[in-house]
Amino acid sequence: MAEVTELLERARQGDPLAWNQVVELIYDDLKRVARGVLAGRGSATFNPTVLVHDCYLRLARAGAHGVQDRAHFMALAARAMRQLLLNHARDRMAQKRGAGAVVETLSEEERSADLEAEHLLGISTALEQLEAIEPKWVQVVECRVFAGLSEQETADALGTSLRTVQRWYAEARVALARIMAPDRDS
Amino acid sequence: MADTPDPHADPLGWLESRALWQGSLFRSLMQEARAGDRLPPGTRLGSFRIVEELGAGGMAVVYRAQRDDGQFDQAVAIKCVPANPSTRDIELFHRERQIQATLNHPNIARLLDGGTLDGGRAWLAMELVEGQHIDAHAETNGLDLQARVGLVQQVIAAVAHAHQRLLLHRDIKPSNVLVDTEGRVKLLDFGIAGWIDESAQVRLFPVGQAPSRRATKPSVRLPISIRSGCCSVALLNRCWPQVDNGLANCARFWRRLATTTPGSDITRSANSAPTSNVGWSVCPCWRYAADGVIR
Repeated sequence: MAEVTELLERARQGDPLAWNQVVELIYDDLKRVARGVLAGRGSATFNPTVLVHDCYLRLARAGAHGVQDRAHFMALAARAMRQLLLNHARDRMAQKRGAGAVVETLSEEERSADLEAEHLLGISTALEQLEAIEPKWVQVVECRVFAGLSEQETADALGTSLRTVQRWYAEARVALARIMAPDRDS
Repeated sequence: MADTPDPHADPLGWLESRALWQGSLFRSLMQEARAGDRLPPGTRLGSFRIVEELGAGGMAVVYRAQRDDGQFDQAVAIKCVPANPSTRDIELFHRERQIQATLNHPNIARLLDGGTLDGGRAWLAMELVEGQHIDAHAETNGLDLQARVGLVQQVIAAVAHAHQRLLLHRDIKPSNVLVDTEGRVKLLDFGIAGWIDESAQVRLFPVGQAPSRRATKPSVRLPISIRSGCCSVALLNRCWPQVDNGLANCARFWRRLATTTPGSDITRSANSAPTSNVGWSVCPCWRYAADGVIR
């Protein structure tokens, strides 16, 4: 069946409907693992790699096949994970602003979630700036960090070599730090 | 988190750190993802209507519900499979329902009803137990040893009932043993229980048993795990810190406990046990047969 292949291709081309479908797919899998994560099973460690691989297996049953589909899906899934975390961080920040001047007593957990949301939003904004400079850097960061792919899996997903992935990742690290701390940039 | 890099100085380092997947933000996302699992108050399941959430376990959420078919008033506990269940979730849940259905004992919360929602979410309705966890109950009421032993005997009765039906609870801990307002013990949550034939270490028909009895009732010797033993020991040990007992004494104590008729003075006989240098806390497995006699 070409349907899944077509969906992935459309999402890659930036079709918003297709993209939302991919995000939904990932979100469905997050819902599935949420119980386990919150119940602290598996010593409370969440593994994004397992999640995106499981998600691909479902797609494969629905007709995805071939090296190409797999590579495309992995890169899209990495971006979708980033999107989901970012959406949640934005929602939290919006809620916080919505609460206005009301003095709330937040729990430790709530406060640190808000702080992490703030950090993630900051870094995500920096990633958008980085994307304008070199989109490949951002893709490598997404694969390595948000999908937990290994260097080799990242190379496969982006259709490049292991060495190139290593180089891009190192370059992205420096460039991202520079964007986040412009004062230190001489 | 102390070991988290500064997100401004080392943004990629921050993303790579524990902050991303083990932090509060991700947990908050997971909670949001789970929100669809919740049945809002007022949801109708069979003859019942959800009143409020009582708690969430690893696999299912438990609600307080009220009979709502105009027949009579009844408060129940309802356990429902989460939304988008995996096949394993469904399998385990059906198993739990079947297991509950085979049990009928005053110290085990009863199964009352069950069904399936649109979308395939199975549910079960249980007797609602209003009470405290066994350890909290013993503490808040300042129970003495005699009373605590009485509670443990009720737990044993419930476990023995399950074992006679070849069922292992496999998760006996204070939070699964409630004591209701009348002081009656109720064993809950057979969510991960299993049938004995699934376990490798079981000897059916122990040697030396009369064939006639073999024919009528299979007697089973179980290695009981041991959390029930430890749970009981913890409960009793509060009253009994001065006794430093060994393995053999522990077994002897359990034998006494099981053979003593309620009302007899078990505390005295137990207290007279000789001491050794092995602590209660290391209580190993204890064995007893399905007729309730600890050996």
